[in-house]
Amino acid sequence: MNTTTHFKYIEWRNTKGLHEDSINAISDLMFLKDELHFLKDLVAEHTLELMYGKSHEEAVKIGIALHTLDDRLKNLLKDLVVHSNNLKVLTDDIDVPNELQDYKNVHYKLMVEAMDFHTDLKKTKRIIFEMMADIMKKSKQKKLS
Amino acid sequence: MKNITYKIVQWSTPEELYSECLEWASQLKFIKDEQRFLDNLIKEYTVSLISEDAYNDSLKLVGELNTEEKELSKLFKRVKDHTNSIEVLLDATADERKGAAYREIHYYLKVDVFTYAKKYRETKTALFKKIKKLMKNEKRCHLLK
Repeated sequence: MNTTTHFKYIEWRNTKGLHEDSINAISDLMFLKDELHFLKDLVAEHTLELMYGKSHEEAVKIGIALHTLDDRLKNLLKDLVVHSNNLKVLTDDIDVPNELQDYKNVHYKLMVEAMDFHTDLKKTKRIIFEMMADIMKKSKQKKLS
Repeated sequence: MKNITYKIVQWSTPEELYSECLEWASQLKFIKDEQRFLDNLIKEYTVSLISEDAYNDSLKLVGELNTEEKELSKLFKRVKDHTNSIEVLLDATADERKGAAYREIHYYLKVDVFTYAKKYRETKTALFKKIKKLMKNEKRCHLLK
């Protein structure tokens, strides 16, 4: 979900707005973290069915993809929390040249990374939806026969 | 009323508003597919869901999901209609008030899509939590046997 301000407007954001962006991004990612763990459990739960199906390779691929996403999420969350804490530097009395612009550059980079993460997770989720639909169809057939 | 989101809608170019409409449509379409997945998941775990102590809870959750599925179709239609009427912003001879009305609708639609996505996400999280618990219980039953 895109709750953050459009990238174009980062240029005009004040410190309060930047703080809101970071908080929203962190909260979104926390939701995705829970979801990712659920999907990992679900895939693990159905591993045997996946393995015996023709989609063995796909099952392995999904497992790897979920792990990679999990690692990326952890790093991104860590970076965002550090970034959000760094906002204090902007509000203190010590003036460093370009500090706001530097902060915004990092901000921009992190917001893009968060968006990319959302997109990539969606791709993996779509594959999982299809796989699960397939498994459930098969288990229904088994029950009927 | 004059919050930052409202202002951004006023400042945005027709192209930006249009691409936002497409983004909403794609977001809602993804949610629709995900809801199919959740329906499948509920079917797969029906027996456990209804034999569980918290039967009423499950029923409420499934009901909530059904309501949200119906709401999604309506919201999707509103987004489609809005997307198709973008020409009032592009037509130089069109009444200015029509353009202003378009932006006004855009703002409300933006709030509605955001609110919907947020509410849906909460339902989804609750469902994931429940099924996670069921998966754990099933595993325990297997081990006891």
